[in-house]
Amino acid sequence: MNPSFAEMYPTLAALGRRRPRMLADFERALRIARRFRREHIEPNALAIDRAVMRDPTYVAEEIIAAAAREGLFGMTVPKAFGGGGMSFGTFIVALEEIGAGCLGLANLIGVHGLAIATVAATGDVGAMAKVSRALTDGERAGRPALLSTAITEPGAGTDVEDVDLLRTARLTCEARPVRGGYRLRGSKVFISNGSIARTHVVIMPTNRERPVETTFAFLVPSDTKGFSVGRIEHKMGQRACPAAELVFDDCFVPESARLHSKALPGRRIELVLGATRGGVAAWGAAVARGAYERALAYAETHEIDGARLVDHQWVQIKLADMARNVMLARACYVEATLSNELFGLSSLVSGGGMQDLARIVPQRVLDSAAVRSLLVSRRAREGFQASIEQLDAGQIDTASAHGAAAKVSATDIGMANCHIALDVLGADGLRHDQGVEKLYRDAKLLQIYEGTNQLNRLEVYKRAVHRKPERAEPRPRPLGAAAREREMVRGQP
Amino acid sequence: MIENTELDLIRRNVARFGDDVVRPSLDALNHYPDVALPERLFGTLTEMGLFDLSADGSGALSVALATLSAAAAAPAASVLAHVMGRELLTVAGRESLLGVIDGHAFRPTLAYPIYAETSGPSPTRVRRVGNEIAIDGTARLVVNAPVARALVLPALEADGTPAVLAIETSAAGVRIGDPLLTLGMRGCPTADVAFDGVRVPADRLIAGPSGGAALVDDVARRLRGPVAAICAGILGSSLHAAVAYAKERHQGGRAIVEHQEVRSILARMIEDHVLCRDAAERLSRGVLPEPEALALLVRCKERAAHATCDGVQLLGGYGYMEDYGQERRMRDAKQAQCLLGRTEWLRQRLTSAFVDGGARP
Repeated sequence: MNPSFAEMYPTLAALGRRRPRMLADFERALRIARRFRREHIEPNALAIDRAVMRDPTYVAEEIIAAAAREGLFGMTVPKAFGGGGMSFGTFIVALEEIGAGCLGLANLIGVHGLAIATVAATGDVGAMAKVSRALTDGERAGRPALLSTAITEPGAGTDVEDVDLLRTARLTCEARPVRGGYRLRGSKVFISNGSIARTHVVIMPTNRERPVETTFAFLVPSDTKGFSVGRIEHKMGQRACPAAELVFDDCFVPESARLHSKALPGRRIELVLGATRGGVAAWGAAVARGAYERALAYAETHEIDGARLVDHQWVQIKLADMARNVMLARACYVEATLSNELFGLSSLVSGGGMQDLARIVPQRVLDSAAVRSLLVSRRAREGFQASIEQLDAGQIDTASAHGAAAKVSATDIGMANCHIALDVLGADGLRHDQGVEKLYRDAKLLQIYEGTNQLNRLEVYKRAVHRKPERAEPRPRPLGAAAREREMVRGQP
Repeated sequence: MIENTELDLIRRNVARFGDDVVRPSLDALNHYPDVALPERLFGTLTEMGLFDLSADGSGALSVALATLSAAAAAPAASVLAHVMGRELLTVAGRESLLGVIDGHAFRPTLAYPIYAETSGPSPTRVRRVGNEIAIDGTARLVVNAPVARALVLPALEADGTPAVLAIETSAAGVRIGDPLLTLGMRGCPTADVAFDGVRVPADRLIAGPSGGAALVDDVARRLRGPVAAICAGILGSSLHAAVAYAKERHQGGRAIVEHQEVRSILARMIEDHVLCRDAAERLSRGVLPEPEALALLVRCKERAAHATCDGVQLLGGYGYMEDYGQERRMRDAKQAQCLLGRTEWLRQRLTSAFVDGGARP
């Protein structure tokens, strides 16, 4: 039931022969997550699910506190910003492990990664430093300053994430420029952690007639006048992670709240989704595995027609199908993640070179005022933004295609395994106390958020099947290459 | 055979009941057992005579359950469990027990584990002690148990012979567990039942002349049509909600119903709904060869479960939220897939019926 790292990730194990330090990080992420799952997720997941069913405002504070003690919230934040310095690609194995225990709690812990990725994709290093420091300082104090990402509107969900659909999306939100800042109006819906986040990364156009050209990210603290949390949804599953409506009622934010970047639609959104869809794919693998583990445990201990379930050939075939589904889903997300490390946002934010550099430089130096002010300087921001602009469009396509393909494949597989598990358990699978019906409810959301699986299929078509001819063949950035560090260093004052 | 006009009348009456009573109670149903059961709903169900319908080949029960399930499947499951219990007594020639149990024939709400495989190993054990029987063990997921006055249960005699029991829930030593939270059909009161040295008169063993297993199988056959009808009702409701949303929601400058991918998904849902509806009608009205009946039942249950997932998908985030009903239909359809036994177990029976003429279990 607890396969070794090499059994689970043969590709990475092979990779580790060339980059043993990266392999060590993968193994450390798995070790931490496995212990966290055993000690905090498994014993509490069903009770939390039930508590939120009774009261959707219930928040699993004890899990948040435990995750903070483990440093899970800040683990992928660069060391220079006070975080654990683990690359997103490395941390992804932790997403699978925690998600196999409970997708809702995995989302509660992991969804701020979407916000961090969004801020990173703007290239606004100062904003990145600000939200990261708030998150990690709070984490060390036991109260992480959680982030949410507000994208979906009542009349526009998936279409906000696609530049072609965005042109005709029925948007109602707008951040109207006024003297000294912006006035935000409208409401965002289904925002994960929206009711508990301390800061919201709000995606809004400054002119909703021209959303492609004018959509930016705004940092909105939850105590901003004119901001309020509306209804908290009664969701079918993933209940541990609250989904809330965020209401902006003529909510004024200063000019500084707008992250410095070009408009988000296009390159920047693609970079974000190319990274985060791999994470959702990891949760697809996670739920596939959770279903498999529970079905196997049940089949070994229950009988039908006078024999243990596991001794029936039809059950053996189903268990084999579930096991190979887990392998397939895992292969999908690992591939997508490595693609992102080579070609996507991770190659800039937490590429191997950056990690190695942070390891060499003592933490006290990274935390020093000089380094802090250097990181938030205009020059650093412009250097990072130049790096984003220099990313090859074909490379971004590759990361996006892998992310979208993995998201569709792994989440469909996750649902498939839940169907099979319920069939193996029969009537017992319907009971809440068995945990399998919860997996089924939880899994369905994976096919919807981060772009529906329908949109993601079209994304695969656009990025992999029907590539624009002017886009060059991608040239992988070698992991740990010095080139990236040199670019970054050149960007410093 | 009931005339079509009578079936239409049943359909209209139940549909009105669905609109007037069931839909306003959906929130309570969805949050049971954390909130109380909507008394009026179950009271009206009784007054309307739905608990009195029989799986008699007329199609009336199926029409009623399909229509009821379009509003909410939980009360339909409650009716199904009651009818299963009553049919067991009737087929065994023991209708008189209904009067003994409650004092009014056809009024008590009976409980029955409708998700159990009909010939699975029963954890409820009976042994004869003089003119009485002693009952020990448990019965899992007994539908209606928290509200029923009597339990009808498959059981095993000491020598391993399958039997069927009918006993009052008030009998000494019968412990009805807390109402269970289940994937779907929430609002259909369900609980585990424990028996601790229960002693009741021996006439509460109701196995017919062919034995308990044959009795349960016989009655389960009659209820395949109503089970398919529940699936058809849930899926039909999901389909209509998906179509309404697809016409309303715009993406890319047009209603999503104009997108080919959405039309393909809707087409598959329509195909599956037609399959379920036809299965319900054929299983309810005709005496089909066993392999054909099992094939229809298995396919119908499976397709409804999958198609209602697409019903959620078409509504995107809204489909996942309670307010829009699609998530409930998805859960209900998956739960319905377990009615009368899990899919693969039924498939093994199907092949046995086709290849071996049912010689092997």
